[in-house]
Amino acid sequence: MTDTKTETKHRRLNILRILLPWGLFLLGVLTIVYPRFANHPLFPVYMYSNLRDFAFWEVPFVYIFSYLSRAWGPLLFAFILGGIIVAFVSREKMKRAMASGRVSSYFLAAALAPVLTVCSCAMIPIFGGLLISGVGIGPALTFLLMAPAANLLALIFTWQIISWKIMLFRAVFSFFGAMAIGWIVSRTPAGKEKEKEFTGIETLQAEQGRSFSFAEKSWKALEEAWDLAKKVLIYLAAGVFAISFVEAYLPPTIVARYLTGATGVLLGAVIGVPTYTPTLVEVFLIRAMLNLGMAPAAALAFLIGAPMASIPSMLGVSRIVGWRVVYQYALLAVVVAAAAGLIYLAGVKTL
Amino acid sequence: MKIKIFGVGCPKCRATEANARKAVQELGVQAEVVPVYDKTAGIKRGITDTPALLVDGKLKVSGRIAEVEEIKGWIRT
Repeated sequence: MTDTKTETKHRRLNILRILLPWGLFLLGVLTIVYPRFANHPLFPVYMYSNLRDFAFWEVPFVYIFSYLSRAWGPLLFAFILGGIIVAFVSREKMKRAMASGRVSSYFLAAALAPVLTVCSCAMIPIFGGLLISGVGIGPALTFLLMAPAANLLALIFTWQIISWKIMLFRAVFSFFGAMAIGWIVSRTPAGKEKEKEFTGIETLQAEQGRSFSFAEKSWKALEEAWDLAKKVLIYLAAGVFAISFVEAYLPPTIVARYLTGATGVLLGAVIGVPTYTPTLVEVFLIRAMLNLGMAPAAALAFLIGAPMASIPSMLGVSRIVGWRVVYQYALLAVVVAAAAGLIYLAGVKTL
Repeated sequence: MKIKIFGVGCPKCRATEANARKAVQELGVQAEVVPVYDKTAGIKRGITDTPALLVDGKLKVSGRIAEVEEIKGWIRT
């Protein structure tokens, strides 16, 4: 008698563990897909007509409220997707695939980076792991550059609130740019020197852990999604708060003079690379700048350069591979970002 | 007995540290819980995924939070 009771309880718990995360995921998907067919959003949204109509202290709240009404769906989708990836993707299998040498490690490093670093905290350790795994400093740098540049949350939001063209260019140029930069730096004397320093260190292998059921993983996905949301939303809220003032009060004439055309592209790349922006904040900042008249091509340059490197991340990485390697990839990141922007300027031009 | 936790200080690492301290406390054993929140220290030791928990130099788990019961199990053996 008691056995069937606990069995039923377990079954009900498992059903909840599966329904809640996947149900929320579907809801997120629905809020994104529905407007394509129905021509209006699934839930009501609020859009202000002119931000300057509001009082100084009202500006950030109106701004945040407007974004919340428009972005909660994609946010839900992105966070749960992130959680699903963390819970269901086996980092071990990915790392073994990268180190195996069968498919080009550069390609795998770039392709798997977005999937491996939903939680940005593991970026440096995985980078270190690649350094000592024997694939060399090239693929390790490719991974390091690609991970923040093609961050899934950021890409989803670039697509949702900017444009799919910019998102596509961002993804493609980050992908090939990260591979190229990694390869080039691995050929430089500084790169080769650091590579030698790291070969031969044994990776510690953890003992075999237990495997988790689909229900357990689904619930873990929800927990991870929540952790991710907590981390990202705090900085995002602060960022959007500040950005509201930029969009309300930065004179469009300044934006028009410096952030359009080839000048804009170059400035976007040069300013972007050292600039640190927390996850997603760069997308919202660029959206505001675009509203003020920034050229899409310049926006693209910034969107590629900013995540690839930043002063804080460069400081951290320099402690592992030294400043010469860091300067080299930072400079190359500026080149890649500028190239992407210039090509967009010449070829596509508009959002 | 020394339990070392390698990480970068993010919530997962701190949760692992808290679980380790709880496990040691509940078992009442003589064990030192040492958090190493330096990104670069782990790499030269061969640790490639954080949070990583080591018991007396042996890597027990990496890449996820270790549960209190799991840690107890490792302490006991």
